[in-house]
Amino acid sequence: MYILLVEPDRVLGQTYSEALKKAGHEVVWKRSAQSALDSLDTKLPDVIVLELQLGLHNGVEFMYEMRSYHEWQNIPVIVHTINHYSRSDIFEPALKQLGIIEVLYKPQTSLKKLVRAVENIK
Amino acid sequence: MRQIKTKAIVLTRTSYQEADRILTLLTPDQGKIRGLARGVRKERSKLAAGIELFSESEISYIVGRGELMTLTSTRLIKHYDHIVSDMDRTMLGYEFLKRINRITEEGAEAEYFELLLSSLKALDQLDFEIGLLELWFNAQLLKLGGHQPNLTTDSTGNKLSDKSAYMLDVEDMVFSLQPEGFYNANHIKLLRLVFTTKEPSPLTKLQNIDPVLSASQNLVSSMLRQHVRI
Repeated sequence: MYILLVEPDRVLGQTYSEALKKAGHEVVWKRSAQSALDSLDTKLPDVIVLELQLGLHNGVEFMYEMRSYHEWQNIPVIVHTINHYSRSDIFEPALKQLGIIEVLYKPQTSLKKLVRAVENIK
Repeated sequence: MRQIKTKAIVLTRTSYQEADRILTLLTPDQGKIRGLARGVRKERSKLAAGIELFSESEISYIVGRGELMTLTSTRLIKHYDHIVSDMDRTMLGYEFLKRINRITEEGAEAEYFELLLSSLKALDQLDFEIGLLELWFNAQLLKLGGHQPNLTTDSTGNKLSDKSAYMLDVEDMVFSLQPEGFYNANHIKLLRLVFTTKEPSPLTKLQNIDPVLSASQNLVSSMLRQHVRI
């Protein structure tokens, strides 16, 4: 699978990227929302693994922006984040509406679980 | 062809062909309009900066034959950039845009623009309690739609008392006296405030509202679902 990984942290990005590559996938890793959008213009991924806590433009902005383009409306997205949200009443319906397949909370997600979540999309 | 210059807030953006965007914009004097912004996907477009979400912009557009206007220039007046520094605020900001878009039609009154602008300004203040802001926003949406609960007298016409408990009939928007009622004077005071205050800033002075905020939010959300269908 061709995976777009959006992860701002250098160490984590490298770790996730390597784990996904080791499982046989092609990974392009971007550290910001803008560079991820630019990457979508180059090649469509099979899945996006997205941290919501990004610098400048956050992951929610990225999602709304991405989904506003017809050609990017059906790309599956897995949110893989450090964030916990106080307003789940707003957050959960909105994520569903944005077509997010799964939300993984980083401290509770092993690399194996991340790879499995990606492969479940096939 | 007629050219119009006005202020606007972007409600939605969708792609159109390779480099264009169709925007839904809320204005104070032209209602809600749909405009075509050409070439904004290209990095150096002069229009791009003025069509940011969570912003107030000045726009110029040409009125054509169809319902789609053509944007000729945009200038950013203010981008409320603190909103996107907090995830909950970002989500609520998108909710505000969605609700206003759903509720307004072409000839939307200036009050909707003012409500959205005030809400974005308040949301941009990181110390503004967002639950309270959402309550105020929803109450104002109801009020603009002509739906306001009776916060003076109960279902029998008697003045609402400080010492009694009530339930609300959501359909008739009136409280009725009930010994086991869930709502008391504190809820009613908070509702009076959010329905009557035209700007959200006075709400920042409220203290210790947590015990009544959540129930008041649920109540106003029920009224919105019942009367405004959102």
